[in-house]
Amino acid sequence: MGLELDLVTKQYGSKTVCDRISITFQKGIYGLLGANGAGKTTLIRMMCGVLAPTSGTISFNKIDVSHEDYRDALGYLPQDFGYYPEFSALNFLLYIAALKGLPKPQAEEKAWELLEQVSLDKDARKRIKTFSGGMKQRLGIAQSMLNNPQILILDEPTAGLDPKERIRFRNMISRLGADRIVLLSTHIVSDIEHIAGTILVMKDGSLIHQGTRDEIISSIDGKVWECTLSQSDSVGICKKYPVINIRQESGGTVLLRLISEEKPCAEAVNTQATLEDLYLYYFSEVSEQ
Amino acid sequence: MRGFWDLVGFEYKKILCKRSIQFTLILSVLLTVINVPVALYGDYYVYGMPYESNYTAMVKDRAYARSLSGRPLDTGLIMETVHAYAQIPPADDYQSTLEYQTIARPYSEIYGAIRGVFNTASKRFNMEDFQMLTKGEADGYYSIRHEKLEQHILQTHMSDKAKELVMAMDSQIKTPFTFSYTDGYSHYFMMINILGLFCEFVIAVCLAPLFSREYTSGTDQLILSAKHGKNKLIAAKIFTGFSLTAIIGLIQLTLAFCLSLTIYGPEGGSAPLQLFNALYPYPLSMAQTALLLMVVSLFAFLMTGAITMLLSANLKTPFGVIVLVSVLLIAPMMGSVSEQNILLHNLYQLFPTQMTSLSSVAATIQYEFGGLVIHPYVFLPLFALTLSVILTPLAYHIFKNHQIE
Repeated sequence: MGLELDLVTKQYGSKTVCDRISITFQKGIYGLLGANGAGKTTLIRMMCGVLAPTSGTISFNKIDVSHEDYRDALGYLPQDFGYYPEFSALNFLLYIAALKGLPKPQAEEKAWELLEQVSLDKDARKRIKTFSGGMKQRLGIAQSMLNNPQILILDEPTAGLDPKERIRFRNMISRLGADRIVLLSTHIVSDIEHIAGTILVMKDGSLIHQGTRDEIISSIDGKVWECTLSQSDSVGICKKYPVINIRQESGGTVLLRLISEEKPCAEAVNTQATLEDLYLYYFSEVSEQ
Repeated sequence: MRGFWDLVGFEYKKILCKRSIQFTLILSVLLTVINVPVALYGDYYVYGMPYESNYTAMVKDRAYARSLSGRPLDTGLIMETVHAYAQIPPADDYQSTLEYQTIARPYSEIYGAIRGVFNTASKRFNMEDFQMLTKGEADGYYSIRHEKLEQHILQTHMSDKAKELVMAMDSQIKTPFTFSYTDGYSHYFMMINILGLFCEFVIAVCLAPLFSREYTSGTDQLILSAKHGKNKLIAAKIFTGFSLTAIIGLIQLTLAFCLSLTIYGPEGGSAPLQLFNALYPYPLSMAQTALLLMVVSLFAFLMTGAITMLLSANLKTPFGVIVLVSVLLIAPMMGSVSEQNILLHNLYQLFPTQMTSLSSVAATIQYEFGGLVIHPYVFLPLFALTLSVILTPLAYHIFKNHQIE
């Protein structure tokens, strides 16, 4: 039971964008981490039934992704969230509610409730075309929750949100994750570091890691180093290893945080790894590109 | 049906909230209002000087025609007209002569109604010929008309069965015709083709974004992942497309009809269609013909709507849809196909803009399938309906199976 992906593959010609992905989601928050082009959005689109897999199956409680009942259980915020500029925020939510099959009185009540939750209740009757990027994103989050979905899939949900909104959004997702499946796709590590119970790491169309934050991070234990070097020595190290952080210290030295399989220099000391370190470990080449 | 009508309401809102569509709808109504009385704008000029306004001329001619209404178009009335026209002295512009204005003009509608029958392939029957029309020729008006129509029918490549059927239809026309003032209907018949083009273009503009806008705006992902996005919503979109088409068509056709009858005069509904064109073979009254034209036009509009919706589901931008539909509407108006090639001729009449023309609806050439002969005014709406029924599920499936890549 739960949301099951069985050998889900998507190919465009000879290019494999998602490669035999199998996973079962149970209630809880999942963070899908990967660089741009890793295949996160393709996987999400297949899970939302808007893109057919080349092979494999996706089902929720044995209901196939193509079935109306699957969509009835789904809430989805796409990466490039489209809207109708001439609609007001309230009208837009009522329209999506009608699409999701909510009866009119219930739709209105739910729309107002969500508008309040995303702090758009005062702007409910304003046209969406007058909204800032952050307001549109909040509206997108609200529409995804209209049908109180059992599966909530959010693709880059915090794009355009300011730090305060981002924290409020994380708290909201934490509450929602208690009684549903929430999949949060992002390349912003801090979005999922503290709220995702399970983190999925995707690279080149495959899931290369899945587990709790600590389980995932343990895969790079002993590979994160910190060292204080002179300016001139640091240049050579920076060229040789993926550097996570550079901090100027007093006395003309720099503190480097980097990733390396072996000790990069005599001054280097092993340090506790974080999710950001893991991200850099797997995606440094992609990020540099 | 729970939720269906809400979705239809939202689809209407999406279409009608757009400024460009509001502008197009208002403009199309204005164009109709301006176009109906277009023949009344300006003046009639004689020797470079305004003689009378076109409106004054219409009022005057209408009064003359009304005074003759109800009289049979027989030898007596034809000869009365010939005698009146015989008074006109030779002149470069006979309509400027006092004799025409005072003696012949009251009969000008009679002259206009019958002259077409006397035209020959080599010579256009003119006023001088009419002045010399003999009583014998006037006596033979209906037999000349019948022979001319028969000759035309025999020259076509229709089957013998179809030819017989057309002649049988013609034989049901009651002669002599009872003359009536019919300008309200005549103007409607003359303008409906261009009105049809307006309407079809407006329909294309309104419906082009129906599906394609969802692709361009990125709302397709929200729609196709929602419970009713792959079934009820598509049905609601299609219902919206057809109902909006019907509303636009009915408003425009009715508005033009009412304006035409209000401006030029409402009488003549029971007069025979042959007062508009003596060589039409159908025993229809003016009012029946107007109704048939409206019905056929409405089906042509629905077909245009179905084509637009299919293209909208298929193409990624509304602009591309409008361009393609415009080509489909305008290109056939640029040419014509001879009646000698029946297949091509009949196919040509099936283009949406051709369907809204009286010459297509009341054409002599019949549609034939396996021994079955169908009149154009029956076949054209049937074809439009059939094509719409075929295209609509295609649009439905294309949108339903659209992939977000």
